[in-house]
Amino acid sequence: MSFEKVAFEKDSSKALKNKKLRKALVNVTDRFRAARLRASSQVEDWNELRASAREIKKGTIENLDKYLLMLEESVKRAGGKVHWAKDAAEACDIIVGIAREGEVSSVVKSKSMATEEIELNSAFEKNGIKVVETDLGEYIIQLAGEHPSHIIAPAIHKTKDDISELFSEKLGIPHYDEPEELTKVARERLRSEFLNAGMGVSGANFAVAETGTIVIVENEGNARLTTTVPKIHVALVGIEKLLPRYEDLSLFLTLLARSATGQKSSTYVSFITGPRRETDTDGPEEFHLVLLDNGRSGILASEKTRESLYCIRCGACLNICPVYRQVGGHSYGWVYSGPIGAIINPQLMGIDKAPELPFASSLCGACRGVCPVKIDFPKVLLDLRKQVVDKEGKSNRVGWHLFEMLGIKLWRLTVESKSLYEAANKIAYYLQTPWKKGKGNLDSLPYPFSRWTNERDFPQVAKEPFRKRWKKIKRELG
Amino acid sequence: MEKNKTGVRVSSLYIMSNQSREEILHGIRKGLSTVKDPAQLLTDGRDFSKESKEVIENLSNMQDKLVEQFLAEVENVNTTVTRSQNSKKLIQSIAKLTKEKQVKSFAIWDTPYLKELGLKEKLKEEGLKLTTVKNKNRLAKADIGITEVDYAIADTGTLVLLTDKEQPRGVSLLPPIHLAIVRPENIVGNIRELFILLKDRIDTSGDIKSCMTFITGPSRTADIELNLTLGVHGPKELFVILTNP
Amino acid sequence: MQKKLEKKGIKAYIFVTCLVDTFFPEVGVSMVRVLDRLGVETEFLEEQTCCGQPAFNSGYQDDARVVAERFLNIFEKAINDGSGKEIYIVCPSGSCTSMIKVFYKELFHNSPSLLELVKRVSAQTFEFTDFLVNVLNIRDVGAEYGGIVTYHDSCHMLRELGVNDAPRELIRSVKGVEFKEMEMHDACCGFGGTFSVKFPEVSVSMLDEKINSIVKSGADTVISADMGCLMNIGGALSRRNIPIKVVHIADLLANKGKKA
Repeated sequence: MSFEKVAFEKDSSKALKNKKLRKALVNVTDRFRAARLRASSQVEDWNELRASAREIKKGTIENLDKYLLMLEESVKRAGGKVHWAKDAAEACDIIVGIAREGEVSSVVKSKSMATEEIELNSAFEKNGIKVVETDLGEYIIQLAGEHPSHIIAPAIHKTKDDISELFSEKLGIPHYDEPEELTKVARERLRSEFLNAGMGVSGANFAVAETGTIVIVENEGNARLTTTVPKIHVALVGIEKLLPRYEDLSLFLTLLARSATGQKSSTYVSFITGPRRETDTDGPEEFHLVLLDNGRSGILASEKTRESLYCIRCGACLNICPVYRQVGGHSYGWVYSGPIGAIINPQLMGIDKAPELPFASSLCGACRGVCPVKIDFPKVLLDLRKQVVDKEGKSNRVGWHLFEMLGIKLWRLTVESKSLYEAANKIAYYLQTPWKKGKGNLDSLPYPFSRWTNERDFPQVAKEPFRKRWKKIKRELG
Repeated sequence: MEKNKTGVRVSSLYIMSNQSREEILHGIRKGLSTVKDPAQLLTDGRDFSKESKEVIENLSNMQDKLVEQFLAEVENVNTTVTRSQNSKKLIQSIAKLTKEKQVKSFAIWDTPYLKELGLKEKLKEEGLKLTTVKNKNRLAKADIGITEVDYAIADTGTLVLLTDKEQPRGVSLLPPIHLAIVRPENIVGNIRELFILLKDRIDTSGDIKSCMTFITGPSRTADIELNLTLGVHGPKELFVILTNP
Repeated sequence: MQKKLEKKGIKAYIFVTCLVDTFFPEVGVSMVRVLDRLGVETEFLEEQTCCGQPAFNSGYQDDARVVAERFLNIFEKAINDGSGKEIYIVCPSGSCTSMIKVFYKELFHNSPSLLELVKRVSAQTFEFTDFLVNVLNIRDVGAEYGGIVTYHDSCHMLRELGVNDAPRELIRSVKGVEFKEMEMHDACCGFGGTFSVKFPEVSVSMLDEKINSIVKSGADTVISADMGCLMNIGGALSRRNIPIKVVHIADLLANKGKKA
């Protein structure tokens, strides 16, 4: 599947009409939100931990070049290879190249949003290499040819009947009713894939500069299998995933599972440092770390939005976002969704590919309140809005943008002068007359104000604004 | 530069990657040049050897409490736990389990402790077939994988397994049942304490294992309508036997 | 109770906000009445128009900055009015107050000369309920209202200003009122300024959930400290003919003896 320009209004409109999706969204966000709250309240100094985590991420990003070099050194010392990919195409070339070099004909993949960013599966397929998603949720959407709709639970928009039908159709098996049966099918099918694959591709939640350790957090065990069984292990890791010291992991792991699913710990955490040692009995013979830039160094250069890189991909922001709750992940048009998607999709795709996203938020700030690294989403969104206006102002002077720009200029003119402002008030009072009805509210207005009045009444401009009442009140109160 | 069938392509990939390395680093440095007051590089300065001794001392004073906490937490994550008072009872528990689960073959770690218990021989005596750990396909066919643990975390019910010559990764991963033998002295209070011990160990030995795995309960997913289902890809069942100190 | 603060020499300059000035002047009047009842001297600088937030939120920061600078110059006269009194700038909107107290320093990030002024004006600017409870230390303003009341936490007030106890304490001190907390009282109502017209379908979907919470609470009156939110909520309630009253907290507090 390929990514085009994000069409939030169009896609969200479609999503809002999908009753099944909406039910699933309310269900998943309610559950995860409650679980996160419960799990975080069990930790006494939760907010201090968040503040510390933010400090560490800040320090890491502000010294990223040094930590990357440290990481490279540590991975090499452990017997691994390090590759640097500046963009998606290059990352695909490198990974396909590694597969070719190893004469790999089939690859197993564990969940990695970075690999979706670079569209790795399609690169493998173009090169005649079979690739199988092993995370159950990702396996389901791979079969369905869709994108994930949630960072942690990618197939949450599908009911078990949907999945049963999908398995039946694509895998040629009978219709099963229960999740246990469906899961059993996935386990059996994928087990042979693990055992026969020549290469396993994973992402990583963290990469420790000091020791060269990558860390993978999961519940199913497919990442363990992906990174243990095949001869070659390739880990694609965004450059922002770094942590400086080994012991920083204890803080971040404490925050991650609780923020994501409300678990005290995810079922499995793998800490991988290089390939198998000579004396090991099993494990991959080759370990390749592919460091991915793909726009991250661009975010790093932007002072006001740099903290977008602190994200540890827990999904807590999705679960609390009132906008995400209504529309789900597909409306965000790309790999990442919810508040984190709203800030990094435009920055990684290019702001011209996703100009709606920074505005697809009421700036309520609930996300900031649950983010384990305290990303100030409203602040970043406000800066991105400025970037969109600056960019569109220079390139796209037609249509809605022109209208809006004129509106802002008119507004500014009006509010810069007391007399113009007061005159505008009087004019508006008289202008509204054709739409005034008995009730005291306006129930219809011309476009674009109809976008309000289609579903809501609008208040009337008062005959006497406060400033006129003031003089009278002052006299009355003496 | 390694050569193989795809020859030139591979070497050009490495050149490309090196160019990108420079570009990426340059881009980062340039991007950071406007940072006023950049944060200090975080280096250690912590005395893990000293902290480690303190942790161990604390742990030895709290062992009973930690055992209780560990048992409670591990049961919360769909793990079946039994206690055994001595090695004889331990073997009996394991034999009983294998009968209940109709286990026919087993794979096992070759560590000094497990060797001392003579588990391998005792289970063979029970009529069970020993599966080699060296062949992944055969290991996948074993009915049960038996390991001990390097550490266990009390407040989350987590087992910590390091990879080593006698401690292959596949034993706790491929068979559908994983049995882990935990000794009270393995248990630490929380992840923070664990990392102090781990870091001290890494610093002292000057080496880090290729893989460490945290295991908290059997494999699970909630990907289908948020229904909890156990046993997706990793072991379907996790058993813990806690020995006496 | 009457005029208890008269001798204390506190003076409140009203920052009425363009929304209240134009559409809901009664809210401003109520605020003045309550302050007067407490013995706080009030003043209103006619030059004021808007704080600049609509442009700022829409990405037009340069335009916002010009308007914001005008605001600062006007209110500088307030804090330096030479009256010798304790001067505050009081505002009936959590949203507009946040613009001054939180976002102005962002807007003037690169203008060190104005940052000083921003700091001084921000320090004296307060949202109305925050002012009553946390500056004047008053919770009972002598109001009366016989109704079942629920409170909607507006987002900026809650999360930018951190004010959520003050309005509740004030509501609970109103004679005759029965307070019921609604489910998800801190969830966004879907207004978000221009968000409500940029993405109206999503906005209304969020609003639906808020309306359901309000109705489910059993209240006959919904209170908030932001007319933006109340305009949104009220607009839906009246369109759907749901007879729940929508009242700004200033109006509630100015009220003496009116039934629900």
